[in-house]
Amino acid sequence: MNIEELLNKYFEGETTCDEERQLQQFFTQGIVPEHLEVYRPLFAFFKEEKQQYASTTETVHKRTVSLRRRILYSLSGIAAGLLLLLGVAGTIRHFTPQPENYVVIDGKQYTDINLARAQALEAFQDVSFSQEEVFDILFEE
Amino acid sequence: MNKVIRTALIVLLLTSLPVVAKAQQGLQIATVFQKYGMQKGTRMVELSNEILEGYQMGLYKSLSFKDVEEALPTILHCLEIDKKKAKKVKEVISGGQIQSGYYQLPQLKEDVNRFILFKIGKKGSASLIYMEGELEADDLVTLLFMKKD
Repeated sequence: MNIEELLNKYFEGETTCDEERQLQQFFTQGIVPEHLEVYRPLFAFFKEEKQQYASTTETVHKRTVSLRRRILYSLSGIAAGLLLLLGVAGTIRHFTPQPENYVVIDGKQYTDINLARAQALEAFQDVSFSQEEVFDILFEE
Repeated sequence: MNKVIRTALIVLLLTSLPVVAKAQQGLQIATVFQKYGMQKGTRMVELSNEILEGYQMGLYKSLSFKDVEEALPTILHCLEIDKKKAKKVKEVISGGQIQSGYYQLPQLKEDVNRFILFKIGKKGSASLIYMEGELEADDLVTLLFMKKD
């Protein structure tokens, strides 16, 4: 099919993508006969538009990807920071010497060992078995 | 890069977990100590190591309430859960409610026996005790009988 037939087909809207690409190549790269010179700006314009569109799409895509990645990195950073904080706080608490023996009375902590021991003994006596309980347990068995 | 972040997060998570694990692990009564230990009207005692050597215990924790009314449902609920794990249970029940309970739990590790004791006293008071150590159940019962006299 020669270029004029292809051109007619194009203006009738019957060309395929491949044929349109062929036309575009002809008018933008090759030597164009004088009587067809009038169509050169048209195809040159199409080519330019196509190139511009392709570069814009690429930029938008790149920007979307980079934004998504940046958000992901930021969130990962925040999460890692929080975990690190928790881990460090936990570790500090774990290694900070806590009083091993203490008594808390009405929300106030005392580390007096004698007081703690006395309170422990009192609580232990509170749970000790009474005579009735001994009988209860014996009869239960 | 993502792989590095993911690995770092997992490592951090795993290293922070053991710090949370403590005594009374896996027991519901730990929440009672946490919740009421610092409140007014309660006395919480923790003794450990050398001071308990003579008693063959490694850890002793007690929580005494002047008035247990408010905390009682929580305590009973927790005891009910821990009771399911217990090896030995002795309870004195009056009016359908536990008045005193003795629970021997499975060993934490070899030679570490664990016990929970609970008793409602007169005038609405109550005491909850957790202890662990080499102490055998028989020795504990002997202690419990002795101390009253």
